[in-house]
Amino acid sequence: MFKSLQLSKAFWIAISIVYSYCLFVLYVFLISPGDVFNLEIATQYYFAIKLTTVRLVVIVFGLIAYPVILSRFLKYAKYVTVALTAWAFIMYVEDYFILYSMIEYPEGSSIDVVHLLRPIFIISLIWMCFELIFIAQPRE
Amino acid sequence: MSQKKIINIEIGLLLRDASNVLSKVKDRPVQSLTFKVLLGVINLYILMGFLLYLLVKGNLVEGINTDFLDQGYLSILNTRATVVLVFLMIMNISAYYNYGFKYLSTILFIYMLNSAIDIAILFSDFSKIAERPYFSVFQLSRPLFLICLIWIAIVHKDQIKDA
Repeated sequence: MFKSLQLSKAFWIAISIVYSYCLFVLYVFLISPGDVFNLEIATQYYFAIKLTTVRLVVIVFGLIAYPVILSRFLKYAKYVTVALTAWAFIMYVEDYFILYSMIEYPEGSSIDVVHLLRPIFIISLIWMCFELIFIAQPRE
Repeated sequence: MSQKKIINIEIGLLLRDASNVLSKVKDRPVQSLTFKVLLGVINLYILMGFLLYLLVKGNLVEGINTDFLDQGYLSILNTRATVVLVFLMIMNISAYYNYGFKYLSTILFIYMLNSAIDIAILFSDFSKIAERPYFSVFQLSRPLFLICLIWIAIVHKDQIKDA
């Protein structure tokens, strides 16, 4: 199904990184939340968790819908990838430069890893965009 | 009568050919009227938003309840107003040179959607429409603005063959 897309190995590595990261984030926040969802937390933590919950819902939809869009609608896949990359990048920049006074993520080793790997996740998405816009062509 | 009909057909053909020639000036497609109207609406919305921000910053807006401004809203508004204004400039340049416009409108759509969600989550406790009429009008018209951004991305013509 994906063979007709003529995408390079680098693209598949990038998409693997993106999926692994998203699944890891879901694992950290949903499956093993630990103290993350402690109800007696400060307002800034509370805001961060509210935002994260909304973002996780979007991530789940994205993880399910993206393979379908990539395999069936390559013409639109690049726009979807650009939109998702923009969203990931905007969230990253806003968390650190705009919302830093409003939100604060709980501390913990797994959450630190999530934040540490965020740039790699964004770089992988940017590579996917680059490849879909400039390299990938659907086979006639 | 027959002569007049033939002349009309000829004029019609000439005009059609002329419009085709015009559309290929400098290898750029001529955008539709819908595109131009939507671009105008987007420019107007963002510029009005920036004006509102300047009025709030200068304490020139008399709100019934401006407590939410002290909760960090003003600092967020400050950065976002500047970012969106810069983005509008880039988008206009992109429309003029007809390069990457669809991608830019998609990115702006995502940015505005994300900021709307953030504001809705972070300031939901202060979202009383009657207490802040200026901001409420601006926030409530956001879905229309998002529709405009998607619409303009759809009607934009990348190449002459699309025109």
